[in-house]
Amino acid sequence: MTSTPDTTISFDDVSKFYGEVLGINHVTLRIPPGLTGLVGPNGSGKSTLLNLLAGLIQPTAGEIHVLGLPPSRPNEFFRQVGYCTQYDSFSDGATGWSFLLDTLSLHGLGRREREDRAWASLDQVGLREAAKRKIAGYSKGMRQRIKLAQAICHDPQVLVLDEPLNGLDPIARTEMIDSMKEFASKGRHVLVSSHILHEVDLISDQVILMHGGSVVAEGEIRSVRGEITSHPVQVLIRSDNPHTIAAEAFRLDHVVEARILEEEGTLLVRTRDADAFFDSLQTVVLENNIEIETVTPADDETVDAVYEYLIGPEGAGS
Amino acid sequence: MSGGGARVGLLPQLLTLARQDSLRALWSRRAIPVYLLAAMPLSVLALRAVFRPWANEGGTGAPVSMIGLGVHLFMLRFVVFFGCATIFINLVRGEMLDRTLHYRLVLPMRREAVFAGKYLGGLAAALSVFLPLALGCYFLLHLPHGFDAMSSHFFSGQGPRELLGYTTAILLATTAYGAFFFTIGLFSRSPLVPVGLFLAWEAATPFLPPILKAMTVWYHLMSFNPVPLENGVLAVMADPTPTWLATVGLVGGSALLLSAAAWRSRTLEINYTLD
Repeated sequence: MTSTPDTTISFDDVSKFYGEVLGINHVTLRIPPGLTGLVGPNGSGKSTLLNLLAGLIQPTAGEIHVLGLPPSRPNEFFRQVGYCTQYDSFSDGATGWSFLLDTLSLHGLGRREREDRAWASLDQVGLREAAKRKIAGYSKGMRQRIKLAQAICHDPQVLVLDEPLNGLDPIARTEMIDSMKEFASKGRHVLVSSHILHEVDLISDQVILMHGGSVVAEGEIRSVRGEITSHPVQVLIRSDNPHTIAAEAFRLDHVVEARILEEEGTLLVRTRDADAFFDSLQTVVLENNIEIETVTPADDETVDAVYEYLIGPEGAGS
Repeated sequence: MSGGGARVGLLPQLLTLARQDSLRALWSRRAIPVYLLAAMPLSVLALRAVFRPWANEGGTGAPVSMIGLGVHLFMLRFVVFFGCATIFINLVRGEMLDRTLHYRLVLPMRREAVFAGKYLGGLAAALSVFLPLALGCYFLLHLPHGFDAMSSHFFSGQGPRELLGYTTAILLATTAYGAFFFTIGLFSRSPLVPVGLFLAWEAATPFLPPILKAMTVWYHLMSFNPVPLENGVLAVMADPTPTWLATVGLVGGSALLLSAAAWRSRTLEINYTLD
C-alpha cells in the first residue's frame, strides 16, 4: 500500500507564548497549495505564525508540519521550504551573487549547479544585471527581490514570505507579485503575510485572517465572506418595482433590512444568507413580472470588507 | 529536481559554513576592534624596534623574559581574551543584532552542525589573527638585537621551543576562551556581565587556592610558558600542571562548554524584536 504524500501545511492546535505575552493561540490550519495571504494588523500574530512555520521559534503547544515534515528535521525540511524574513538585513559586503552562492553551497550543490541556479533565480527576480553589485547599494525593491531569489534558489516546494511588499514602489510591487504568482502557478505553496489588506485580496487564492493571535477566518475570500453569517451581506437591486421586492423580502427570516433608497428604483437589502435571498428574489421577480436592471453587492467582497466585519473598522484600518 | 540540492555529507557543509563565517568574522565592521587590539602590541614593539632602547643590552636574554611576561600579560590576558570575546560573541549575538542569523537557521543542517560550523569559523578567524600576531611580536622583540643574534636564537638557541610554547598557548587559549564566549553568546542576551565576571575570575588566578586555580584557563596556559615568570602578583602558588594534562583540561573544558552550546542551539529562538 502506498500512502498519498501530504501536500498541505498544517498547524494542529498551535499556541505560542513569549513569557506571558500571547503570540498565537490555539491555531489549527490546513493550507492547500497555492498563494495564501496571511493578513492582520501589526501584532496580530502573522510573523509569529510564519516564524513557527520556519522553525525559528518553537511552539509552546501543538504541532506544525509542512508537506508532512516537522521543522525539527531541518535536513529534509529546509530542502522543501524557502523563507524570506521581513527584515532587510544582509552580511557586510555581500553582493547579490555571493549571497546566493553562499546559500547554495550550504545546500550541498556542486559549483556548476550552484552557478546555474543562482543565475536562474536572479533571472526570475530580474536582478541579473545587478548580480555582482553590493547589496548595500541596492534599492529597497532590489533588496526585497534578492531576498526572494535567496528563498527560491534551492527550488523549494514551499515559499514563506513575511511582508514581502513592504516599502516597494508600484513597479517593484507588481514585479514581486508576478514572481510570487509564477511560483505558485507550479502547484507550490506561497504563504505571504501583509498588513495591507487589499494587497492580499489582489494576489491570494485563499486568505487567513488573524487578529489578537487567533485565526478569525480562513479560506477563499468569497467563502470566508459567506461564512460570516453574523454580519449581513448588502445587495443593491435596481428594478421597476422595488416596493414589491421589499415587501416579499421582509417575509424572509434571513433578511434583516430592506430599504428603498432615494435613487429611483433602488432597493438595499441586507441578508444573512445571500444564496437563499437570490433564490427567493428569482421567484418574486417571476411571479410579479418585475423587470430587474441590476443586482450588485453593496459592499464589495474584498478582504477589507471581510476584515472590517470580523474585527471592526479599527483593526481593519491598521 | 525540486526541493533543493544533492544530499551531501555533514563535513563538507560544516567546513563550508566555517569558511564563510571565518571570512565574515575577519572582513566585517565587527572585526575592527580585533584589528585594533592586534595593532597594540605590534605598534609598541615596532616603536621599540625603531628606537632600540635595549639594543646594547646583553644578547637576547632581556627579550626572552620580557616576551614571557608580555605573552601572558598582554597577549593572552588582553589581546586574545578580548579578541576572542569580540569574535566569538559576535558569531551569534552579532548576527542576532544584525538580523542575519536566521539565514543560517533555515539551512538543511541540524542546529548543532550549524553552530559547530560557526565555532570552527570563529576559531579559524581568531587564529589567523593571533598566530601571525604572536610571530610578528616575537620577531619585533628580537629585531633590535640584530639579525645575527636573531638567527642564532632562532636556529641554534631556544627560539623554536619558545615559539612552540607560545603558539600552543595561544592556540589553546583561543580554543578555550572561544568556547566560553561562543557559549555565552548563545545563552545570554547581554554578554557584558558574564564577560566581566569571567575576566575577574581569570585575573584572580594567582590568588585562588590550587583547586580553584585548576578551573581557570590562565592557570593551564602557564604550563606552556617556556620561560619561568618572576614571582610577584603573577606568581602561581601551585605547581603548573604537566602540559598534557593542561591540554586535556583546556580541550575537555572547551568540549563541555560546546556541548552546552549544542544543547542550547536546539531551542534557540530567533526573535529580533526582543534582541
